Amino acid sequence: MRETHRVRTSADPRSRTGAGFALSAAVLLAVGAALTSFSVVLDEGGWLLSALVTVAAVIAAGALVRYRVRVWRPLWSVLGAATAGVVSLQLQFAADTTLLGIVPLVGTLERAQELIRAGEVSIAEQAIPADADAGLRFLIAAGAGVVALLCDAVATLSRRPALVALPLLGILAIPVVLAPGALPVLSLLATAAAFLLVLALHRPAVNGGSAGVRRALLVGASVLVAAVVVPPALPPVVAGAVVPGGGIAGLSTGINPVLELGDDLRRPTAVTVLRYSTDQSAGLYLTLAHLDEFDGQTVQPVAAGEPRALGEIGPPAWLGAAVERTEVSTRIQLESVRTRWVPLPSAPVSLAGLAGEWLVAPDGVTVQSSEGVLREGAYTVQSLDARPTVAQLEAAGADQAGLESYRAVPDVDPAIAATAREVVDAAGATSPYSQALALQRSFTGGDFVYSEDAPVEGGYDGSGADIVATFLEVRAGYCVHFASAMTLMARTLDIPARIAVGFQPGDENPSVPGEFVVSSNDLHAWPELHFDGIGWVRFEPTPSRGETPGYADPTAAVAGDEAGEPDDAPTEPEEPASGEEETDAAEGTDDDPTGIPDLIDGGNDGQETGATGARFALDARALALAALALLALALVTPGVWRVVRRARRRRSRNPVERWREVRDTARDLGLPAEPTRTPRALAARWAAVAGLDADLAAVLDAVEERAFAGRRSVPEAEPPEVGAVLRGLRDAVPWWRRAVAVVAPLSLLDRASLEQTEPRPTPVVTRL
Amino acid sequence: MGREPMSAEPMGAEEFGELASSIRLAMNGVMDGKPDAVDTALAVLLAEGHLLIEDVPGVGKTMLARALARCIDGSVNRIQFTPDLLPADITGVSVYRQQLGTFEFTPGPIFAHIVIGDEINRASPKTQSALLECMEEGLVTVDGHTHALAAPFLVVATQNPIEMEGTYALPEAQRDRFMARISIGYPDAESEARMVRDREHGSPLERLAPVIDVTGLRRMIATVREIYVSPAVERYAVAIVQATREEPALRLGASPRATLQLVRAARARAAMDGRDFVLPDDIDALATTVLSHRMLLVPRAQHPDGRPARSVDEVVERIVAATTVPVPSAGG
Repeated sequence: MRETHRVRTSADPRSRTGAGFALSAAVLLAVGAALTSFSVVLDEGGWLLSALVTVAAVIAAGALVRYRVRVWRPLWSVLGAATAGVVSLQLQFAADTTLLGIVPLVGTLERAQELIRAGEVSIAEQAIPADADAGLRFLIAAGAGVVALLCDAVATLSRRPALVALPLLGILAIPVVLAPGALPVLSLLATAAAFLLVLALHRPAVNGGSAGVRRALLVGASVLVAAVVVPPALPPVVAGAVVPGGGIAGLSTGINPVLELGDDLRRPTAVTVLRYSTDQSAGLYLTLAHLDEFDGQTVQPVAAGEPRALGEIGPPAWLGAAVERTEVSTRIQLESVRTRWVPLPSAPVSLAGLAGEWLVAPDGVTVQSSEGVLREGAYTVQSLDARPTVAQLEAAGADQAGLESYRAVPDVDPAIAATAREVVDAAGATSPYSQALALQRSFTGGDFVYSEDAPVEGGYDGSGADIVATFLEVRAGYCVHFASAMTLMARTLDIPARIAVGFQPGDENPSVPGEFVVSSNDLHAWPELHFDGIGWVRFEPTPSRGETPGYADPTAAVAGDEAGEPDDAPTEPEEPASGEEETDAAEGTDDDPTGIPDLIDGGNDGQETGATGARFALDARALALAALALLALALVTPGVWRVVRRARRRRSRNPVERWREVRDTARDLGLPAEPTRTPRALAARWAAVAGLDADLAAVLDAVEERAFAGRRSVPEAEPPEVGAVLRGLRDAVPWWRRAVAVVAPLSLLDRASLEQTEPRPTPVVTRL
Repeated sequence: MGREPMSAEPMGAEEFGELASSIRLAMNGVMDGKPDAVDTALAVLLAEGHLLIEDVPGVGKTMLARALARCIDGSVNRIQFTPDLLPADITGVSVYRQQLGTFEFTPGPIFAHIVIGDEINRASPKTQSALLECMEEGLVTVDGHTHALAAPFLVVATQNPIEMEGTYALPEAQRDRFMARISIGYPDAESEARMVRDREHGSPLERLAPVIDVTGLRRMIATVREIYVSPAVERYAVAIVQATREEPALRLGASPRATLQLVRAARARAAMDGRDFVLPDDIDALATTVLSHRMLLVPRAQHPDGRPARSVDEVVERIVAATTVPVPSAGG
């Protein structure tokens, strides 16, 4: 034995070395191609390069070691590859802590721990697409190195190269799970192609020549098809799910906070984003950014100024001198959020508690980090709460110069302008303020429905100018759509308008009076319109979301004063706010089906609560139904497959096929059916269990004649029926055994089924 | 003495069956309660192999060999192997005939249809080798002249595994020449009692009349040669033999000769069973008998489950039980 082994290793033709390197190259291609799929979840950056360098180091080292080393090749190959991977990671991430870049010192380990922790925090808190910071890059490079090590070992050292697909699928599964919509099809195809190349290059003779390659190609192709077809077909149940190493992913806002807003609203479980306490009695809207520039699918933020230190950042220039105002002090504590934009109340004056350089947009005023993201910490903001009266607003014009960028109407469907004009004319509104109110009423009047999912299903989920026309037609959407539509429509009426993105006030913390809790479900977008001498005024066109400001809410007067005149807005802004607070609290506790007020949006009324609850209930039911259907399918499929196979075999005129049916039935029933026993031995054992000597003998004779007697000219007589034997076998076992045989026919798993010409059932690929 | 022609007309299955059962019946009358040993011995005879019987003294090793010889109306010689036995005592010598002035070959006891070599392990290796060469080649060369042996030619050798003092155990290479090794084992109580009764009036061998003549035996052997072995069965036999070569508990796997002899013996068993084709069951039934004596266990051999392997038989049985039986759906 040892003798033959030595002979095998020493007879190592040169061509095999070449083939070995080619195989390693194919593995490198496959891992590299799989890694590119991360581009859908990560911002551009050095992550791909560092991961590829690590992968290349691992695979090259493995190949070199296999080329040089003759004894204990698998061990040395894996050791060498792993060492190369570690060295590559050290050189890239911790070169300064090592001795000559190779020997790790204590600092290297500490650095690794730091990087891992930073990576975990990143995973936990970032949204998609994430910033590939050092921690993430390290984790990706290390993970890629491990995958490369696995793939290399499996492809070159084992006899089952197809197993390379497992680590590769592991890579591919991550972006598919994290960003269910954005399937990296190109990466997938490239990976599949490289995988097939691996299969083709893996010494074919070992796998049974061309038949092995053919089977591998077949399996590879079916896996590929399943991978392309199945994931998009599955419901996206993973959003907001637990991310490895993290916990519930926090809220994250990128360069443009409006982009991910819909996804954050659709989170099944809300995360607490921040808490704030204010000396004002009611909650505050917190603004992240103002958006003014429409371009196609999205809206771009207002241009920011030069980097500067914070401190005195206001008061904003736009605030009219005549407007009544109160000074508000707010302390904001960030929790689960990563943002480039600092959440601020409207019209901030000064900001204390944030060090460093910041970009301040003076039109806002909004504050943006110049680099990196704001993650945790607390700060205090002094701001002005402006309360223009209805009379002031009615009297104001909208002609102030210098606001051209807020009047620009992009090249859009003329239907938008026509609709705006129609609404205004129908209401008989002439002043800019009454026109704005008419627009707002047209949205909240009941014709439009709040829906977070309709835009996704309708394909108009976005924020740009293009989707507004569709939205006006479908009349369903969420805050971004309402805000975009009202902003655009106001602009067509020549009223300067912009979209603000931020948070609605949130819920008052029942245990800490005066503290408000803002969750990811409080993310909001609303339009702000500019009136001469007054400044930017917030409107609330989104039905059942947010708090309509007193000056902009004519119906609040009905609730508060029971007066019939809709245009008779209250002059006291505080009243409707507090009134609404009360109704909100009362209705919230009454109608809240879950009894967990924290999970439900603050500031929404009972209708919203009910609607949200119903939507989640519906989703849960649909999911449960889908799961049940899948389960039922999974339970039924083997049985049906087995029945089909049985019918075909019993119809067959080949006695061996019929014999196989008997054997598989015995196997299903838990009777002896080992493929290592001869037909005669099996028949004897069955006869001992179930009787049936005569029937069995006929079946046995037929199969022996056919399989072993070599008589090609046997007259094609009808082979003996196996029905009686099958019945006898079934009767010989207890009822539960028969049930198991129907639901879980083990014979489908047998390798013996490979003997047959029929294809095996396509493996069911489930999302990892 | 010229080698008798081996070609003979195969006979029909019925005739074969009748003859086979009458031989079996006759031998079973002598060997009480040992039908398996009888069957194997007969199969080896019909498959043109040689038989090694290994057992303790007194269980009927020689009796079996002699019963087989008695059933066939052919020449039978018996050689008692002793340490001073010389090769020439087996093969024969050339004797100078003074009257004719020539050397004349005097055939040894090896020139018979059935040769019983009793206690073969008592002879010196040189003598053993002489016998084994004859067995393999069917020829004897003395003084440059080659003499063909009888056909059919069956050597039934017995050896005693217990009394090892002053013996020369056959090396594996020589055991490989035997198609099968059987041990007879003690009879059960009933058979032994019957034996006591029967043998009061002389040996049952005396009462045994020949059942078949040499021509008939040749035809039976020709029939066995015609038995069909399907490729599936060939694959099965090869798979078993190859598994012995990869078995870590065995020091040396079985040789290709073992494969050949396994299939040949299976043919004989199939024919005796009234079939004209070999079943995997024939291979199963004969594997241990045909393969075990050719192989040695490694020291401290173990089964995969960690049990110590006590004998080669055990290992071969396990291999047979673990080898998949091909049942092809296309005939042949």
